[in-house]
Amino acid sequence: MAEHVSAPQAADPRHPSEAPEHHSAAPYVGVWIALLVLTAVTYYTGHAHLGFWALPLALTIATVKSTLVALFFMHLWEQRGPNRLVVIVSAMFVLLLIGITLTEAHQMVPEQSTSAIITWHPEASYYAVRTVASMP
Amino acid sequence: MQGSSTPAAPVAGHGAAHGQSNGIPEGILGHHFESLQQQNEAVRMGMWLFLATEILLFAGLFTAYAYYRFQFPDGFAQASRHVDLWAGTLNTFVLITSSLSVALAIHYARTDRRRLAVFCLAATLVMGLAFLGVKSLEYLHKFQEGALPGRYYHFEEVQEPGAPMYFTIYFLSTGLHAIHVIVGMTVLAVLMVKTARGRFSSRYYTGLELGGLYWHLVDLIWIFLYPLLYLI
Repeated sequence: MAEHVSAPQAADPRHPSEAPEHHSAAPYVGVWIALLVLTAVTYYTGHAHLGFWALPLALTIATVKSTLVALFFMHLWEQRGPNRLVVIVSAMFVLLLIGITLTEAHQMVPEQSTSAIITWHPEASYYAVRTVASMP
Repeated sequence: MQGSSTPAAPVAGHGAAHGQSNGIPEGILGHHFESLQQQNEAVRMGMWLFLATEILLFAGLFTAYAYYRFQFPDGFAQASRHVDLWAGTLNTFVLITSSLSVALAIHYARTDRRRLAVFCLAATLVMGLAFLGVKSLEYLHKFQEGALPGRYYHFEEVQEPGAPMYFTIYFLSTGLHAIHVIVGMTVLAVLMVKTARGRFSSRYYTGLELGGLYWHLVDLIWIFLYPLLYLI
């Protein structure tokens, strides 16, 4: 389709953000090795059944791995600007969605109980409720 | 930013606009964009917004997962011991490596090494097929055991409450992910043919880059699914 285009121009004046910052494939391989190592760490720590810390650890490793993918494989490292904002905002919305749902769902256990904020004052009375001793 | 220069008539001596208006393969620059630079930034932004909607689509499933995992911690832990850990781990390695080969394909395309780029894309497609193959073996195993979603659940070994819900979420999230793998492979196959025909080079590679972004997202989702489903 595009064979008729003139030969590549050596001095192609590009916008700074357009120019590839690195000319070797080595950084990609480095990131790949880091991802493999982190996967192995996830495997072994997940297998060890660490109890309470297993989930936070697994999520931390997954977040580090996905940050590596986004920054280097997906080129967010060299593309400054609004694309990073889109990623950060979408991650925030994911956290909000999960966080709000979880806090709401596990606010009251068991589910049908009622919660209230109670303050105390010596002369306060709560409707008609009296202590057993004060009752006739 | 670029003054009033149009792609049809680049202003001589205007650095950025001049270089991009020449040398662009035909039929790439939309008439409503001032320069290829501007168009690239716009399409990348559009792609990232699309990826954000994809992330939020999966976030719904992750929310369901979080809710039911805290509701049935024992059922989820028991059920997760009965998924094929070797398959999940193998698929994680396959998908991460396929992400590398897509990144390399874009790297080679934008440094004008077309054959290497095509080779990397072909390798990605092979790894995508391998991923789906392992996944279907895994599904087959689940079907045979009766570890199925909801009321179709008849897996004898785990009768803990919450286990059917685990498998419902397992099939929904890995199924939706597998659909994304298939879509990604289709996109990459088209891009591979285009790369072989010389569509992408150091002058223009944004189309290939966007396809790569989609594939990396598929990898990114799996990075979270793997520990959450296979390693409770």
